[in-house]
Amino acid sequence: MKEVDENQEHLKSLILLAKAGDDKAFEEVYNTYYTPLYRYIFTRVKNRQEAEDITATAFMKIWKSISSWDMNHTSPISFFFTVARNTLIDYFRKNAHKEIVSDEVIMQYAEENGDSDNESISVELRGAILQAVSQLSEDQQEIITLFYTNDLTYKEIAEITGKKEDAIRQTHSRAIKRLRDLYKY
Amino acid sequence: MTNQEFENIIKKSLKTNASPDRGSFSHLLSILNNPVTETKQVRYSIQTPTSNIISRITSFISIWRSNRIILVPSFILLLFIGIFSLSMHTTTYGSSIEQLAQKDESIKELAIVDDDDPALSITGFDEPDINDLSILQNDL
Repeated sequence: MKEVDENQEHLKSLILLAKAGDDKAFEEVYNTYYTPLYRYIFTRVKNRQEAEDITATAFMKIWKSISSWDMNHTSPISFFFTVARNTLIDYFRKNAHKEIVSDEVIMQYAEENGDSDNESISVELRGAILQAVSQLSEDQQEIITLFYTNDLTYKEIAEITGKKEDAIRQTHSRAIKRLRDLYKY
Repeated sequence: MTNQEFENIIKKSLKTNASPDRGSFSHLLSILNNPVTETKQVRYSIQTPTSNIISRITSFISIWRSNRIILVPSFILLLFIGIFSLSMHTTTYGSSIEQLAQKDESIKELAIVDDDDPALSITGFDEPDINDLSILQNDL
């Protein structure tokens, strides 16, 4: 999200235009935030088609609620990720059975969606880490995903989840400790 | 392995090269402006009767799975109540049969005739007493 931070001012002006109903400005915002939101959702659901559907639904919600969004109260990152998170929660509520992802799906996900820029990490190692992450509690999984897939800060995660920054820090630290216990490679 | 190294591995593992095959923004706008078509998620709700039945069964199973902590004990409790009420019914029915059997037994006992029973000995019917002379006279 560093590149997003650099263009924060530009984005703010675009968002202001989008709030006023400018389609072109919203399109730029959409193009900037689509991939970070998609990656966060995809890491959680581990299904490409469903991740795309959820992301599209999240953007529809953003478009509908953008005019009522108070930019002084909530930052753009928090706003976009909060809507995505709520859409994801709705999805899991309606599809409770899909929350449990099998080891097979995790390994397939590890094989197909590895980071191509990074050759130092094997599929087995990636699979082992992903399996360990899937055994964390819901809160821990969410924080770990937000923290590592989009480089969000504790403060931003606290804003998105509506929890205190200290609580996020503590959950993150516990999650890392548990991952170290679970990690067997 | 230090914490930093371990966190780097987690970061690399979670980072994905998945690039979304997203629909264009204009497509999203057309969906927004035309609520009939809606999103792909809504598309799932426009279904045939068969897929509706399947989705209902799936949702029922998911509810069952998500609420099994509550549903399973309730089901067991209901099962026990059912068995108990059935056994009560069977006992009442059984006792009625028993009573009928006892009655039957007593009727059978009454029906047994003991020839030696003095109470049941036949003293005579309408046979005339041969010592009764008045009868003989009449006959003459």
